[in-house]
Order: sequence, then C-alpha cells, then structure tokens
Amino acid sequence: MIDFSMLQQGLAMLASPWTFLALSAGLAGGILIGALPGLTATMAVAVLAPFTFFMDATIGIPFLLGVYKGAIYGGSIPAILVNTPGTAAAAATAKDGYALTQQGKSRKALELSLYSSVAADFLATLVLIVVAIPLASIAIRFGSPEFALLYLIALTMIATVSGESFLKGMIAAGLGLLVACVGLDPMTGYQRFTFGSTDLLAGVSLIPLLIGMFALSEILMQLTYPPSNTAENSHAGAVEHGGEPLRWAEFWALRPTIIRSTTLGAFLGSLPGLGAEIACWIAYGVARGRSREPEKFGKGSLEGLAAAESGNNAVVPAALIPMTIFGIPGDTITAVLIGALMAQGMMPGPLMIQQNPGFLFGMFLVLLVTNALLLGFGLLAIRWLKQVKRIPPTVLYPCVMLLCLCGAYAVNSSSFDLLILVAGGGLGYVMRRTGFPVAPLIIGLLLGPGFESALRQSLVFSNGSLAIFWSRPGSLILLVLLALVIVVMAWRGLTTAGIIKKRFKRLPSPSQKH
Amino acid sequence: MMRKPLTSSPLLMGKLLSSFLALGVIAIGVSFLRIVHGTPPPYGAPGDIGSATFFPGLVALLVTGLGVIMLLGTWRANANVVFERGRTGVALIAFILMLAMALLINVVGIWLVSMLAVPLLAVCFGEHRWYVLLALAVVPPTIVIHLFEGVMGIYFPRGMLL
Repeated sequence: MIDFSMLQQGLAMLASPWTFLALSAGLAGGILIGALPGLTATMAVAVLAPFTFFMDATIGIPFLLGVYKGAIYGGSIPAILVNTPGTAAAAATAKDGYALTQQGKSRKALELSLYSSVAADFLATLVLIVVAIPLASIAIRFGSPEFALLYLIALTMIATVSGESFLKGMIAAGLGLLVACVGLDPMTGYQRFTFGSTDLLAGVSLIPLLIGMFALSEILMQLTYPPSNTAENSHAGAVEHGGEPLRWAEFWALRPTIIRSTTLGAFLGSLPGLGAEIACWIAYGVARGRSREPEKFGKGSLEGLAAAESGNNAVVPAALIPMTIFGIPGDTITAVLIGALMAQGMMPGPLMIQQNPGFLFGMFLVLLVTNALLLGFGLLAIRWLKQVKRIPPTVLYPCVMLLCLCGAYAVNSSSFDLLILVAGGGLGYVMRRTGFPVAPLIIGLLLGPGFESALRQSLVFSNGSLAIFWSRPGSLILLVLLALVIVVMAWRGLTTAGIIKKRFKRLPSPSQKH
Repeated sequence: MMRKPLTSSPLLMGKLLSSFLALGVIAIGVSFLRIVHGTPPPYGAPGDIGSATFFPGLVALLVTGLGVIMLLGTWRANANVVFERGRTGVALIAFILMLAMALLINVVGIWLVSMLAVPLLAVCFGEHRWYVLLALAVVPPTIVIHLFEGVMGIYFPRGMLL
C-alpha cells in the first residue's frame, strides 16, 4: 500500500521548516501546560485547536500532536517534584516519583520519566505504523453495516469504561447522539431541532462545545474544589532538587518493565475510551505484580516510575490507530483532534487514507520525529520548569478563560458559538459534579452523524431487514464482538451493583437442598 | 482536600438529586420524542427508515428508557448516591459571569468584556490585591486580543460603546 509518492509527500511535510517550527512550539507549549497542575492535556489541545484553523493542515496538525505529546509528558514534572500531577495521566507517576524526590533523587526520577516516556512513545509509534497500514486496507473494504456496528461497539465501550456507572455512561452517549441530530438531516436535508435558528443549521459547533466541556468546566471545578495546600505540598519547596543522574545500567535493567508497560499502554490506547489516565494505573499495577521487589512500589521504585510513564505515553500514538483508520476517537484528546481535522476539511477514517495518504504518512513521520524533539525539550524542561507550580490559580484560570472565549469565537467569528461554549461549560460542570462521564457525550456527538448515515444506509439497502448485520462475514464478526462487549460490560455492571451476587445467594446450595 | 457530603443526610439528599437528574434526562428524551412525533410526514415518520426523524426517535426513546431505569435504580435499597459538597455558589457566580460575557460581547465589545471578566474571575478565585487585578485587567486582554487580531486576523466585536 505504501508507494513512492506517498513517501515523498510525507517526507516533504516533514522537511518543511514550518512543520518543524509548529511541532517544536506545540511540544514546548504542551510541556508547559501539562506541567501546570489543573490544566489537562485535553484542555490544552481544545484551547489551542482554534489556532490551527488558520494554518495549513501540514502545520496545524503537527502543532496539536506536539501539544498532545508534550502535555502528557509535562504532567510528570510537578508530579515528581511537588507531588501534584500536572495531568490525570501522571497520577501514578507521583507515587514513586515524589518518593524519589523526597530521597534527594529528583534528577534521577525526572530523567527516568523522560527516557521511559520517549522509549514508550517511540515503540508505540512503530506499532501505529505497522498496524495502521494493514488495518487500513481492511477498513477500505468496510460497508455501511460494518461501520454501523463498529460505531456501536465504540459507543458501548466508551460508555462503559469511561465512568464508574454503566448507566450514566450510556445516558451520556445517548445525549451526545441527540445533540448530534441537531441540524440538517444527512439524507433528506430536513431541518431537525433547529427551532428556526440559522446558527444551528450546521449543527452544534463542535470546537466551542469541546472547549466549554473540557476547559470552562475545569475552571468551574477548580472554583468548587480549590487545590488544597496540604502540609506535604507546602513542604515540597523545602525538598532539595537534584541528586545523582540516572545511570545507563539502571535504565537498561528496566527494559522488560518499559516494554511490558508500552505493550499494555499501546493495547489499551488503541481501544476506544481507554486513555492515558487508566493505562498508567494498569501498567503500574502489572509492573508491581511482576516485580521482584513489590514492597518498594510507592516508596521510590524506579520500576514503578518507569511503568507509569511508559504506560501513559504509549497511549498517545496508539490512540491514533482507531482515529486514523476508522475515524473513531481513541480518547477525548483524539476527539478534539478529529474536530481539528474536520475543520481542515479532512475526515479521519478510510476516506482520509484514500484521499490523503501522503498527509497520513507525514503524520506518522512527524510522530517519530517528535520523540527526538521530546528528548531535547524534556531535558530543558527538567532544568527550567521547576518553578512552574508557582503560577497562582488566580492568574492562571482567568487567562485560560480569556483564551477559551477568543478561541471559541475564532472558529466561525460568531457570538452564538460563545453561547455554545458557555452552555458546554455548564453542562460539563453539572456532569462532572454528578458523576456523568463527559467522554461518551463528546464521542457520541462526534460519531452520531456517521452512525446515523451508516445505520440508515444499511437498512435502506436491506429494505428494513436487520439480517444485513449478520449476513456479511465482516458484519457477523463485528456483531459477535458487540455481543461479547455487551455481555462482559453487563456482567461487570450487575456484579458491581450486587445483583448477580444476590441471585447466587438466593439459590439454595446443594447441602441446603438435602 | 477531603470532600464533604452535600448535607447531614447525604443518602436521602443524594437520592433526591439523582431523581431530579433522572427526571431531567426523561424530560430531554420526552421533549425530543414530542418533536419527532409532532413533525409532519414525509420527514416526520419515526417508523420509516428514510424519514429524518427515524434516528432521533430511536435515540430519544433509548434516552427516555435509560432515564426511567436511572430513576428506578436511584430508589433501590442498596443504591449509593452520595454527592460531594463544594463551593457551588462561587462556581455559579463564575458561570453567570461567563454567560454575561457571552451575551454582552456584541453590546460592550471584547475589550470591556475581557477587562472586566478576567479580574472578576480572579476575584472568584480569591484574589483581592488591587494591583494584581489591575494587571489582570490590562495585560492578558492586550496580549490575547492582539495575538488573535494581529497574528490570526480574527476581529472581535468592538461593541456599541467604542
């Protein structure tokens, strides 16, 4: 499938000094934002996405990829230095990273975190390249029934794994699908739920809604639960930074942990709904289970730190697998990336592979180059970003709000988008306060139009017969997969609710029978 | 920070709040269903695959059903529905500020809106030093607006006052 022109286009994209500059700016900005506690990687990508609409896709998308990678890595710096994870994905890093800092080994911890991140990112990018191209050739053969089932699998998985409650996840996904119905019907062109407003004809603006749900709601959450100055944190400044550097032998000894955690992170990242926040804990837990010194975990274990960082960074390239091949976002950040690609006139999925193979290949190459840059920027960040936590929230969040306002307006130069921004902020806040996961709503909104078209086209082809979903080999496999996902998730939900346990208790045991 | 439950009777309050949420979900589902069934054919025939209301009708029915399940689930004996208490009032004030910002931008313009909203949000976060507030009213709006207008060519409303 790789031909010379595709390689040439990809290399041309990489060779452009503007791409390189945008990538570097994105990485630097991402590391800075990721290092600021309270500013998440999703928020960073959402707030900075409007800047890319005025750039060529070959510059704008590498910029956002740089922000994504930088922010995921940047979160580890305050986690290690002051026990305050910059992003949720760095929560596991704080356990052993901060313990090492308390032992006067912060330099070793920061260097290990950087090298593990770069190694994991590089390996996972190779996985993306190796997996994406063969899978893409399969995806091109998919028809509407396969896509309808694929979207349904993605929505079910996202709804069930992204929150504590299966029901709330399903409701959020349903609400996302309903919001996606606003605007013109994709098949008949009839106006739906627009209430006569011309602003809603093209549907609810995606980027303002995303900025509202991720950034404004975060500001409101920070106001509701202001970061506490615990004794641990207030004494963090007294901890001496520095100590001995990481020795090569120490890093080399950790290669099984890094490879295992990378594999786990890449696998979890490629599944819709499972982001770096979950991967870091699973990788950490597995590393602890396989370690010869599990008692050291949480007390400054190099293995624990390497596992957490490899696990969360491997997710970044892996999350691009479902996005590039099927147009399904792997997590909330890739959902924002899809929005940015759509604003550039590209539709991720099989069409993008057919229409822009050079761009796609260029994006893969950019991801590889980002690793080398991350190493350089990371070493600089270790030296200079120690003071970043000192930026007070009283200054930080008002500036973020202003960026949100200007960014949302910039999308369509429409003040109606500002109302969508604020409505998204309010909705995101209510959902987060009441335990509804935000990710299923966003992904439902993104997948809604594609899901509707695929479902209706399939049913029109089959004259309304549902047999189309099991009469083709591809759709049959996906249907079995969907059934498996539903059974596993339902079992998990019923067990959590205690319903299954109760039923077993009610059944008389053999001894009681006799 | 240890998050506190919402009231002294957290379980009952939690169940009431959860019920309100479930009713809200049902209300959304029913509203969409009403619009779907109120749309005249040929576009509004929810049972017809080719109709514009087929898919929304299906999803609205699903959402309504899930809302009913949530409502019933809330009042199960072992349902754990405790919500955490926080500074909701301050968040509400900040939300009203954001809403006012969005509504007033066309009337008073970007400069006045941002020069008021940025320091006011800082006050919500607990900033009271006048020189910090003054700096926040001037520096971030100047940088951000010039960045968007000068570099990206996005022009914001100037309002009726300017």
